Amino acid sequence: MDDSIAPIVDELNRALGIDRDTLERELTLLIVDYKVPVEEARRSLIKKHSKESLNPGGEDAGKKANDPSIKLLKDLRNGDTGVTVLANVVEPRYRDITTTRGNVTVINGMLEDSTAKLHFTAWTEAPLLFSGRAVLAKNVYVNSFHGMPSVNIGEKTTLEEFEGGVPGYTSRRCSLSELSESDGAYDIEVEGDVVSIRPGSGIIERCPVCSRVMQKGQCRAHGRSEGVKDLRIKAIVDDGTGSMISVFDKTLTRALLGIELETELESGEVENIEERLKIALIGMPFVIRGNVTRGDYGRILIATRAHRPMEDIGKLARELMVSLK
Amino acid sequence: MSDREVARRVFAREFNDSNLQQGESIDRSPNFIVTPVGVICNRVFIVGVMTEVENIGGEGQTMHRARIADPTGVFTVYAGEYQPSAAVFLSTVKTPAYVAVVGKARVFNPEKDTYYMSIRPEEINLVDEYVRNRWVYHTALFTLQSLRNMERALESGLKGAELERYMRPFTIDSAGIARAMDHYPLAPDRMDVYRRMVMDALATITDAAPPQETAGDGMALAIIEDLIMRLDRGDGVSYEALLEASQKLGYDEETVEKTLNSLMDGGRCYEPRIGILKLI
Repeated sequence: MDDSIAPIVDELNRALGIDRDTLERELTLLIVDYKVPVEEARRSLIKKHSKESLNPGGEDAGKKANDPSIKLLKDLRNGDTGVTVLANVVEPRYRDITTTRGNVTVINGMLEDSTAKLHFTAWTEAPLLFSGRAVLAKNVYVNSFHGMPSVNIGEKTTLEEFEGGVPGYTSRRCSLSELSESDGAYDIEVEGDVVSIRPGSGIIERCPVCSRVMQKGQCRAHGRSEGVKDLRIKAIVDDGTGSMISVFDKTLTRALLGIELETELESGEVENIEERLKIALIGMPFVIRGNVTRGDYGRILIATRAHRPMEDIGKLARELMVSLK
Repeated sequence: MSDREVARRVFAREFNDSNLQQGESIDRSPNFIVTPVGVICNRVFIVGVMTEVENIGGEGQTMHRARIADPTGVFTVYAGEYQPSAAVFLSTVKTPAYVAVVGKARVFNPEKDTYYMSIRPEEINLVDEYVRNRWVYHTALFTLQSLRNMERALESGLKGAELERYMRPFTIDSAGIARAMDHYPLAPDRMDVYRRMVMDALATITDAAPPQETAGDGMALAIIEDLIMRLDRGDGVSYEALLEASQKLGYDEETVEKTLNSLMDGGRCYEPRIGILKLI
């Protein structure tokens, strides 16, 4: 959450009894997306909500149904329906896919606002998506696609071109506690420490047909065959607020381990690989960028990039002390 | 599948001042300790200087006791036969050394009003000074947040279940805060003591050196080597194409050149023609 938002959320939550999620959403929309000055955002929310809490139910409820508030993309959950989003359309393209009802042409691409970037599918023809402008999409629904929330634009969806322009998405720094409760997230960044190396790290064999990891030369779908050697790390990363399994592919593994250890590993002559990986990684901090996918085995952070944090700790400590005086 | 316990970051002094346990009665449920500022910890992550290791095992059994100092005090770590890799580490490590420990918080309560706090390690490893300094900074941030929560709790004037409910929107430690308020003696300057502890800890790292550049080199090496492999369609990669791809990943020309030189020195890549690169 933006630093300027948290205190206002606290204040209005106490003063008006409005739930914190609503406050955070509306404040983020005003302050982060629309760059409204903080004081003005606060004032407008007080006005809006104190009116609402004075109005008796009936009329108010009817009005809300026609004018549902816009949801930030980061707040979308699998199973959400009747949602309104305001987002940029990124790289839309037509695609023919096969469904149970035969072949259909859909539009695929990404939607982004300042809080998240998500995959979308439009099941109906919607030229507006190619206008290069942001769209206000009412009545979309959300389901899981590749382990991440995905926005569906269907027949009941109404699309409007949005003139104002929506700030784009750049990889967002998240706490692991936030991600541990999400339904997945695309291109986020976390900073945490490696607290455990899971079995199945190091040199593994993949099935030549389906790329699944093989156990003792056996693929669980394709049986015995000559596996393809691969290198990966499954590590538990913990940032003090939450923890998650993070998977590093071959390139990242060699990047994290350094060339010497990786060369040794590939020579196949290293004994006790797990121990060597632990020595190289346990307790080490990393900044990891990637996607969180939510599947049958829980949530996994699939790393696309990773590096050691390079912050100047002395400077940060001095600044923190000054701010506390 | 139950969620993994988060590894909490706490300073040694706050940890050692703790003497409140929670959840000991239920079978197999994790044990928690609650610190004086309301942090509920089961698993902890600490980084400090290992100053001393003793073998305190009796006949036929191994038991190592190690002392790990942070700027506020000393953690005690015990590893015996059920922590074999930690025991191996402790029997070979040379002190002093920067170490990181992931482990479970333990309370030993030999007699009434006497409590010894310790950590049973799950993982232990050598780290460097930068990792330690970074831990002190992050632990300071976490502790300051706990202190703010505690102050909010004090200001509310609430107690028990009511306080827990009131604090729930602000912190995962709402239950810990309510228990800590009940259990620990509430001297008025109590939070000030811990605030001063944090300031003193921060003061020890204000002239910490920025991380060494070499930390990034292995990364550049691996990524640029990987780029050469990916871009190579059989007759090598032109330097210009490699540079363009590298710059997209945030590496400047100087880094690319330096990295290529060390790849060539290491015999991992060569130049079949001028300006063309190929992996060996």
